This record gives sequence, C-alpha cells and structure tokens, in this order.
Amino acid sequence: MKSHQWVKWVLFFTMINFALLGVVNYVVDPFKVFGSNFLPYQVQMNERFVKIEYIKKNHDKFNAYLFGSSRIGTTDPALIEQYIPNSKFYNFTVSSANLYDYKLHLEYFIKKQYPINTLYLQLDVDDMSIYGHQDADYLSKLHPEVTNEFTTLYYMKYLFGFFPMNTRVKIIDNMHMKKSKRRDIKKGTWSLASKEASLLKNCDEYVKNVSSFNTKHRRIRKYTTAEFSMKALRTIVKLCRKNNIKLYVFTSPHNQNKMDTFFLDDYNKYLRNISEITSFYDFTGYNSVTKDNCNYYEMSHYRPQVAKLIAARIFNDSSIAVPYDFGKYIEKGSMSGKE
Amino acid sequence: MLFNSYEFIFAFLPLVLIFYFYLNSIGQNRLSKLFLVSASLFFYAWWNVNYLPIILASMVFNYFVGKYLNHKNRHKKKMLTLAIILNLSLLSYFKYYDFFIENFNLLFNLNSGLLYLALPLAISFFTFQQIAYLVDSYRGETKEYDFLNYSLFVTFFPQLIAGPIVHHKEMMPQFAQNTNNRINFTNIAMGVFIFSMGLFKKVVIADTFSIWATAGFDVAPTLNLVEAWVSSLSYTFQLYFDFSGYTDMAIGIALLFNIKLPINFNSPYKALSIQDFWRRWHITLSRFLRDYIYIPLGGNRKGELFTYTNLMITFILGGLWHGAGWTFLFWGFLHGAALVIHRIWSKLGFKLWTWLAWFITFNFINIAWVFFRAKEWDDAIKVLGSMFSLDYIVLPNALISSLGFLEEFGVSFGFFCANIATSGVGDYLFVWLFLGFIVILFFKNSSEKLQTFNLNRKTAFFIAFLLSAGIISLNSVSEFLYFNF
Repeated sequence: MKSHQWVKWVLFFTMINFALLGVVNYVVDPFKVFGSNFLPYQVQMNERFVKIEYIKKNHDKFNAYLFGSSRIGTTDPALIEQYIPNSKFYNFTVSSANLYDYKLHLEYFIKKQYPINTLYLQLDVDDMSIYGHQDADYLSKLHPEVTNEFTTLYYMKYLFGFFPMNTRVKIIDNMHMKKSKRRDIKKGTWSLASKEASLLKNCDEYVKNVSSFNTKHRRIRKYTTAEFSMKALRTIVKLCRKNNIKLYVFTSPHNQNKMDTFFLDDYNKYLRNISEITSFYDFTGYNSVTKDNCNYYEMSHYRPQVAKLIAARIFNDSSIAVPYDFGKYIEKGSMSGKE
Repeated sequence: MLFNSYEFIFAFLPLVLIFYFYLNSIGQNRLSKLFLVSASLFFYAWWNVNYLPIILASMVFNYFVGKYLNHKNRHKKKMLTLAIILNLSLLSYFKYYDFFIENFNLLFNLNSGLLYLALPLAISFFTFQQIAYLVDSYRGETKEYDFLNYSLFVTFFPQLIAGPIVHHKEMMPQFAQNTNNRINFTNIAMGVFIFSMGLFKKVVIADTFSIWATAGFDVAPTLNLVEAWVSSLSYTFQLYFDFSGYTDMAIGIALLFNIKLPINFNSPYKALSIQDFWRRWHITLSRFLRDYIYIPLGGNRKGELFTYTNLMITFILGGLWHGAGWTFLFWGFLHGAALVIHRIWSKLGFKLWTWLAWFITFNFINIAWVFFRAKEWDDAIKVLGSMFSLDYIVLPNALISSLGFLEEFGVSFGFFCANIATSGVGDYLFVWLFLGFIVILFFKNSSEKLQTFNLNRKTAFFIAFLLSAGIISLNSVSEFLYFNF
C-alpha cells in the first residue's frame, strides 16, 4: 500500500470510530443531555444541565430555591414551604456541588429574572477547599447558558467524548432495571426507597452492612485554601442583599465518620471563614444526630428525618423535638479570632 | 499550546503544515522558513506572551557569539566562558534565584525577599541547546548558517518546549536540505503513526496513572503500605508514558515537516543496571550531560576516584537541571551514587541474575522518583516511610477469612486504597498497573515499532484506533510533566 493511501485509510477509520462513538453516546445518553430517552431508566444524569432545562420551562412555578450538594437532595421542598408563607421551593440539589455552582446558578437566575425571594443554602465543610469542577467531570458540567459556553461545542463534547464508565453504568442500570434510587425532577429531590425500608426494618443490621460506617477513618482533610469559596460566598451574600433575597445558610450535619476525616484546626478555620462573611446555623460536629449512624444512608448522606430537624432548628419549630446539641446559630463575626 | 489539545490538533498543526508546504511549492523557501519560525514563536507565546522577548534575546545573543567563535581566533576561550556564564545566569535568575535565597536565609538566619518569578517556558531546554551550540562553535564543529536557519534550530516548535535536546549538527543540515521542502507521504505516514502512539500514551495511559499518583502524593502523610506503593508505581508509569508520549508526538510532528528528531527513550524500564537505564532514559539529556559536563570534567581519564567524583557532579547538576529544590538535587545524588556503586561492582566482576538485576534497578528507579515527585522533602520521606513500614497495613476485606489472625499484629481489613482510588476508574487500578508492567517489559517501544511498521489496513486501523482514543480523551487536558523543567 502506498503511503498516501495508508494515510487516507487512517482518516477513514478515525471518522468511522467517531461516528460509532457519536451513535453510542446519543443512544445511551449517559448524562441525559440529548434527551434521547432510548433507555427507560435515567437516574444517572448531569443534574446541572437537566435541572436548568427544567427551570427554563418552569421558573414561574417557583419563587425560592434550596441550594446544596446531593446531601440536601432528601429535603422535601414542602418541608421548608410550611415555615415560609407563600413560598414555592425547588430543590436545586446537584451532586458534588460547591460554592462555584451556587454562585453561578444564583447569578444565572438573577440574570434571567426568574422569581426568587428565598435561598436556603447548605454548605459542606468537607468540600470548602474545592471550587469548580474538573473539565473531565461530565456529570458535573454546568449548563452552557450558565457558563456562557457555545452550546454546539457543549453538545459536541458529549457526543464525541469517551465515557466508558458512565455508559456502562447506564446500560447495566437499565439491564437490571435497578431502581433503588429515584429522582423527582419536579421537586428536584432524590430518594432511596429500598435503603429507607431497610433502615426502618432494622437499623443495626443496615449499619453493620455499610462499609463507610465500619471503616476506621484517618484525618486527611487538609486545610489548603478556601479563598475562592469564600469569595463566592461573599458574592452570594451581596447578591441576595441587593436583590432582596432572604438567605438562610447552614452547614451539613456530617456523620461522625466523616468528622473523623477532618483535622480539627482546619475544620475550625473553615467555620471561622464562613462566620466572617455571614451568620449561619452550624450542624457539624459530634452531636446526638451525627453520632447516630441510623440517621444516614452512608457516612455522606443524611436521611429526610434529619432534614426535618435542621429546618425545625432554623425556623425555631417547637413542635419538633430537636436534640439540644444539634445545631447552633453562629452570629456573623462571632468566631473571629477564636481558635 | 499543548500537543494534546483540540486547538493544536485541529487548527494550529494542519494550518501550519498546509501553509508551510504551500509556500515551498511556489518556490518561497525562505519565506516558508520565516513562516515556520513565526508559527513556532506563536506556539511558544500561546501560554504567555511575556516569555517571548527572553527567548528572542537569548537566540540573537547566542547566534552572534557563535558566529564570533566560528570566525575569530582571539579571545575565543574568554568569549565562550563569558557567553556560558551569561546563559547560565539567565537560567539561574529565573529558575534558581529563590532557591538560593531561601537557603541563604536559612543558613545565615536572614530574611532576604524572594522574587517568585514565573519560570519562562522551556528555558532549561533552549539554554542547554544553545550552550551546546556555543561549545561546538568553539571547537570548530559547526558550519556557518544564517540567522533564519539558526532561529529555526532553536524555535522549531515540535522540540521547543520539552526536547529532545538536539545538536546543531543534526538539525541544521536538515533545515538546509532542499528535498525536505516537499511533501513526503512516507514521512507523513510515519509521523501520523508515531504521533498517534504518543498521543495515546500521554492522554490515555499517563493521564490515567496521574489520577492515582496525584491522589497519593497529595495525602502523603496518610498512606498505608499498599497505597504508598501504588502511588509511587503510578508516578513511575505516569512519568514514562507522559514524557515518552510527548517525545513520540514531537518526533511525529517533526516528521510531517520532513525533519528527523533523535530518539529520547528506548524502553528504559527494561534496564538491567542504572548505567543501562541512563542509556535508555532521556537519551538526549544524558548525551548533553556526558558531552558537556562529564567529559570536560575529565570523564574517566584521571583515575577511578576522579571518575566517581565526576559522575556525582554530573548527576547532581542533572538533578538540579530538573528543578530548583533539595528533592531534585537528592534525586540526582542518588543516581550518581548508584552509578558509582554500579561501576565498582562491575570492576569487581560481579554479575547478577537477569531478573534480580532488573528487580533491583527498577525498584531503585521507582524509589528515587519519589524524591523527584514529592513537593516537599517531608512528603517524600512520608511516602517512603509508608512504603517500608509495617505499622499501617490495610488488606482487602476478601482476605479476612484467611488472614484474619493478622489483626492481632495491627493489620486491618477494608478498602485498602481508600485514599487514592475513587470509584469508577479506581476499580481498575491494579489492572492498569499490571498492564503497565506488561507494556514496559514485553512490548516493543514506539521507535522500534516505527522501524518495522508496514503500510497496510491493519496498521491503519490500529493507528486510527489510537488516534481516535487519544482525541476523544482530550477533554481531560493536562500539561506535560517536563514542561516544568
């Protein structure tokens, strides 16, 4: 074969590869950005994209939002609505979210003039040094309208990217019709029905079988810098003030096993950083809720019953018995200078 | 601009290639060279345009000094010495100033301010390349070429950023040869072949290992025994596939322009001794260190003791060339010491079984890379401490039934790579490590494959697969490790 023919064959095969990849990505739609829906079970998705698409069509139905990582995903919007008259909440939980997401989404809602008068913002102390997402993280890519990216380029990346893990997961989920996790796009929440049932049936047995509850954790959460996160939090506070948005800030109640991974000094520094910017409710620490593994699905995600306690503490609901050591109000500036 | 980026593969490279050969096809050979120099400078300035005056000034200065050394007989040695000092001063100012001041402050308890200068890209590479040119000019080993050809020799974009470090005499004749101005499909086929292999090595293999290496070294104090070994091995593989992948890409791109660059890697992890390793790893740097440091110091001509001293000096300087830090210096020291020991060993006539020789050599290299990779001295010590300590061992849960009795000795069972292997790609960590060993030990390297590759549909399909896999993995763009050196 002559050299120029060989080069042509290379180009031909390369194009075939890209075409095949494009077809697979479109049909399987591992991140649900194409909405092709050839596969019925669509739990694995790029929530940031899907939720913005939903809000674009339904923003008039809501006037308040819950922002947070997947940990806030079990909080029913109705729970908060009962404390704030005339509010219509949407749970804008997105997995692995950090302050980068909250800031950009809030800016986007304001820019689009979507109604918003209350923001219920959950902060994860364990991720405070993380800001933004890796380019290769296609599950966490923000909607192109939020980041002002070219829409065509955005879709091209999903069409011609190589996602063996995500493709595999989606296919296997559909083959087994694994439906342990459900998402309610209309509310924005997620739920784990089978785990919830197991916990209700026999909590001790459940806890015994979840590895993160039974692993001896070491302190690895180093304090690097939360500079970008704090800058974003400052912006959020300013935006809320400027746009008359009532802001509720609180920290996730990290399970004791998660707390075991923090260096105490670093953890305190994060809390102090937040308190320098805004008042907030702190649910972190070793308390009767976080020390009880039955309140969690695993060491990262708390159950809806914890969401009720959080809301009851924040809204001072005396009808619910909130453990005395769970959650305390930190006044802005009150932690400055304290070690 | 990175070789492994959309803008390079789909815009810069095809446009430069087309326009370069178009200018040649209409007889504008000098204009085509001028265009290639301009394109190379654009490529260089893509990261930071502020670096551009530095490389331009360095190029002009060295060209005229080289010219002087070629023509004049008076004060040649003084001129060469002065020029080398100025080149090294430039490099030292940007690369070593803060390092020296930090240590000076520490030693004399002072508080002199640091400059925190950004290291101009590729300064180590183009400085060494031009020092070699000056020495060759002094020795009368260079021919007279004009400034345009010299500029192309220094700036030619495939090798500008991270080598291979090329000799004046192996590049200039190629640039001057008129037959190289025409499109040559044989070279294009070979170029596509080796570029695709390099892209795959870098983007698919090295970047996967980098996930575990980075995760491990970021949490150095908390690694258990298995994690520490996995982290160090991941970095060992990452560095090889990253740098040799980059070199393959550079060789492939140069071939598209009918320029042959020297090979830089020859299956280094197959080495059976440390001397063998340095004949296979970063060959053009080893060649530079030998020709311009070791031999001028006296090489092995002044007795054994001087030979050992010269080896140590050469490798300590080689370590410092890679970075301004005690970890790099110590890495160089370790390699120098290993070469001295190997030399004594060989003199005494000792020989090892092949597998044992490989095992010792590979493990030495792997351990020494820990110093090379660690951001701080403490991190290196902690990773090495975990690699050789039995205090913190975690074994897979699956072994608890058979090895449960070890719990009495402090061994625990659970997720034994929790610190470095996140879910997803982490599930395949050990498969990747196993395949990594297979590839480095039993596969031909890309240069060997290039010598024997046939033009047929099978190879076209294979290369198309590597190229496609490389391009579709570009979304996780990362820089080459050697950009920092």
